[in-house]
Amino acid sequence: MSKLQQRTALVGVLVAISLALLWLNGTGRLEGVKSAVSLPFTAMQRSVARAWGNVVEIFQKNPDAEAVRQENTELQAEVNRLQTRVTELEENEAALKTLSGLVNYARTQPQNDYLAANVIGRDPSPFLKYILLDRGSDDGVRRDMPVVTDAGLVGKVVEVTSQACKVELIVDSNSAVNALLQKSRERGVVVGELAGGVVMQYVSQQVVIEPGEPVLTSGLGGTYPAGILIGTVSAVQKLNYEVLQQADVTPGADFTHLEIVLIIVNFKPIDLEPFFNATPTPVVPAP
Amino acid sequence: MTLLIGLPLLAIAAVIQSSVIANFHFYGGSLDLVLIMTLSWTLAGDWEGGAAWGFCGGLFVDLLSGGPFGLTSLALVILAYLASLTEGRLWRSHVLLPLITVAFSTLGLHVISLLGLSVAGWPIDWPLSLLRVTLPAAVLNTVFMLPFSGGLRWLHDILYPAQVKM
Repeated sequence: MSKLQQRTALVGVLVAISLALLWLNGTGRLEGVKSAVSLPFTAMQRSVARAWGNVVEIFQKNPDAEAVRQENTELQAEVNRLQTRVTELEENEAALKTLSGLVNYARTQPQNDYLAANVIGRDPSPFLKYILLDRGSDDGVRRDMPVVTDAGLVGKVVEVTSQACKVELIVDSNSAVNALLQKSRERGVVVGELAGGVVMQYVSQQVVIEPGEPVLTSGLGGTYPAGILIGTVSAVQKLNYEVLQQADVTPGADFTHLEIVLIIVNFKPIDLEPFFNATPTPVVPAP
Repeated sequence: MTLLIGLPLLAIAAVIQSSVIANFHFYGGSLDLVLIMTLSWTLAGDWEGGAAWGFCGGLFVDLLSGGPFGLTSLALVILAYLASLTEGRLWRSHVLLPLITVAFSTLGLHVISLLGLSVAGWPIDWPLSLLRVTLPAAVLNTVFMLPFSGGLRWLHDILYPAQVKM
């Protein structure tokens, strides 16, 4: 067997394994293995995310540090020490600000129980919009739990390991949220777009949508609680010859700068699947 | 030896790709560190090992991704194999080879990913995806290919020194 034939055989085996993994993943049989294997990755991601956060802070908050270093070595050490302290305090202040925002939000929604979680990673694929949080099944996180910030809806938990979970953002092109226009009370579906925005679809042409109008979750379908802010209407796409219109929505949450989020842990999604799969009972004629 | 070197490097690359690089975008595209490393290692001369790197690196990326598990590893194995077909060609040592390979491989990776996502039920806007994501990503990967290619070739030459016939 030539070297090329050997290599082709190896690639054939690896392709077959990959296809088998794809199939097994589709059937949900890989969850346990994935959960176990991802443990060291979660630990690494925590460390890298923390270290990266510190690096970003230093570059953002201390642009003149290079000039200071050149002035005096002793002063530099002192300045750096103080600067680090200031950065730490500013970081604490920023975290406090975020947390107070989240706490205030939580107070306005007393019916929900929240669990705060740090964002430790984002989806490596440019086509997918997922984030990884540092809370998992050990903390009580379950699949389909909604995730929010004080600015609005973030997404829902789609995968859980013991120490981390994966959240599908509402801007992912696979996401669909039943929504409600706050003023007109008209319903529609908010779907994600590849470019990172969201669009509210299936709105009747009869409804007048105004830019700036808040869009909330409607609670229909039972996947999200009702009344969570999704965003505000930024533009309306209305064509006279179409039955329905759609509206561009600016999400309330800033998905590029998500650091801490809240998971609604007491929300139980309603499984409507049995209604769609139910076989109609035959009508028995009266004797 | 290949996997002994590759596994930690690829695991770190996948974590950095998820935790750091995913925060930076050039237009809609982002740098694909695992793809670059897989191709660099393959083109450095480890023709069989490249496919193994692609498989493991792809699994690491899939582990951190919300997409179908096994899709990236499938794509990277195929791309590493195609890159390995340059073995023995006269123009193999040409400086443009890694750049052309990574540009086309980015397109290949994205097409396979989009096909996989499409089959899994994701709604895919092909023209928008290829124009806004793939094109900038190909540019970005091409720009960063040379330093990685040089670094991994250097590492490969240390681990597998070329045999000289006397």
